[in-house]
Amino acid sequence: MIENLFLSVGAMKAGTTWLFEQLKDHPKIHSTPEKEIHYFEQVSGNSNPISYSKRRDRMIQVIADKNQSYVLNHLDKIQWYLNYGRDEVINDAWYERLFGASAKREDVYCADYSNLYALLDRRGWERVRQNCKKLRVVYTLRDPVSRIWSHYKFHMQFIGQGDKILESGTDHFVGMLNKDWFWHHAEYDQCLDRLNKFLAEDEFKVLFFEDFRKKPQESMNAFCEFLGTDSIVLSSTAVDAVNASADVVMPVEWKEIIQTKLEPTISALKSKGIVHESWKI
Amino acid sequence: MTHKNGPDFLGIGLQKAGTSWLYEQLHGHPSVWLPKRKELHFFDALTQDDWNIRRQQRALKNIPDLVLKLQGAELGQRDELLNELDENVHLARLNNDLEWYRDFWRKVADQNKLVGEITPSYSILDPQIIKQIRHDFSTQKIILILRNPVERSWSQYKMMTERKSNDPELVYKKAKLLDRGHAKTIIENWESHFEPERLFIGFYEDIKDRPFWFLEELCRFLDIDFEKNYFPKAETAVRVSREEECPQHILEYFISEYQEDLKYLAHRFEGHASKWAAQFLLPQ
Repeated sequence: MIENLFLSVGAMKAGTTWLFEQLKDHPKIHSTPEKEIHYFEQVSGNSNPISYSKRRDRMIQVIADKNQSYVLNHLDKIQWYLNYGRDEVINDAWYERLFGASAKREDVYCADYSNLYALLDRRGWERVRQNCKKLRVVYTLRDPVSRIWSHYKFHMQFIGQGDKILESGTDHFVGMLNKDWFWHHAEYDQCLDRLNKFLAEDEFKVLFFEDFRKKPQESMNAFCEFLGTDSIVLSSTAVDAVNASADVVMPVEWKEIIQTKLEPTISALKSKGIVHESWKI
Repeated sequence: MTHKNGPDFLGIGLQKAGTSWLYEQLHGHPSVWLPKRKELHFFDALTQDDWNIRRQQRALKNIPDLVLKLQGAELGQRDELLNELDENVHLARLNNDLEWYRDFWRKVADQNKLVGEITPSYSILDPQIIKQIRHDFSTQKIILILRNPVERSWSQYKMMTERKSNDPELVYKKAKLLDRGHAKTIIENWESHFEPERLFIGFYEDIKDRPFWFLEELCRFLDIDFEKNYFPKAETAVRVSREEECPQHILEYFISEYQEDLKYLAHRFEGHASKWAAQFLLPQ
């Protein structure tokens, strides 16, 4: 049982990597070398993000890609990946061990930034609760149109088609929007409904990507206040984007397609009052 | 799911009583897993810093090679290399943390084999640590091999004086040598936390004279299959140190040091131990 668990549950392409990078040095937040563990999705969700072979490949990639002196200077990290990737079967004890002694500390949060958790259902959240005494969850939103575009570009780069983002064509683009695994991440309203249903008010907070960019220090302070932990002073480079996707402008036609498809989500968000003033919707 | 957090069995010595032979034999058994390196020296590192540092340095030297090998390795070779790397990284990072040792065994538990470790210096562990092994780890069985205490110490003396830094006229009085032959204390310390059925006590003479009999007994104790062909080197692998006559003053020193042990062992085990007593026990 982990004493304090902090989950950043998405959204994808909404600044979660930025948050992860800033919090890496927070003395009271224990982040793992791997940003997204996806354990609860693996054991309670519908996909298989960390199968044995995926973890194993990742471990070997991390170790074998590095030069020897890097390995010698980062033994903790290498050890972590050996723990992460060598167990064929994983269970709650495996997840807890990823955080080492921090799991049992009352003054430290164990942090996991798994964007797939935004899609967890009741079973998933029950499993989360079985594994921690105290839980804090943040869900970071970004202008939905920009987020989808970023997600699409990111996906194209991920599958090695980063130079053909526009050439992929409208049909391909629309096909992607129609895929559940892609579109579910855009349905903020439904994600919010689930999170509100399974989490108590003091356990859950919505953040905005746009605030990370425009007023990073203020966002960080608010975030830390939510966790009930001291804030940290961000460096001057903290306004920079992290893990940004390619700089390609979205065709007007595609933008309109997104906007139409997003209508139900937007109106639901408006009625909830969860809209950032900078969003162009 | 297993709940291993320690070795199933520990080989605890005695030093110079055939533990390397034991390691080689069990290492070849299909149902047994032993670490690549015979001696992990985990528990004595809890009290001895120099072991720690030396072991750490060795591991640090191994790691770059292993990474290089991993980079060039075929898919099928990777598991073995990763195991070895894991062992070395653990050792290199060691900070006397019990969690390290637990982790080490948790990971080998998946192999569904009997897992063990053989470190002869465990024989003289502090009783507090023995108690900890019994209660905080999943370790169930202890293997101890006895040898005539006078001969054992002479054998260790020869080994220690091969190193130039050890003065031949001082080394035989050192606790590091003498303590490892005090079989009575060793047995009593371990028996106070491990019930008699958890303790296997064998004899060096049996390893030399009837190794298969010894191994059959041991397999029964460990509850694993015994087949002669598991142990192709059982009759040849005993390491024998150089023949050399023990100087009289050292011999006398050892004999007087171990009187109580000789008496205790003969009384308790008879057989080989009676012969040791006949040879070295002084008339009262």
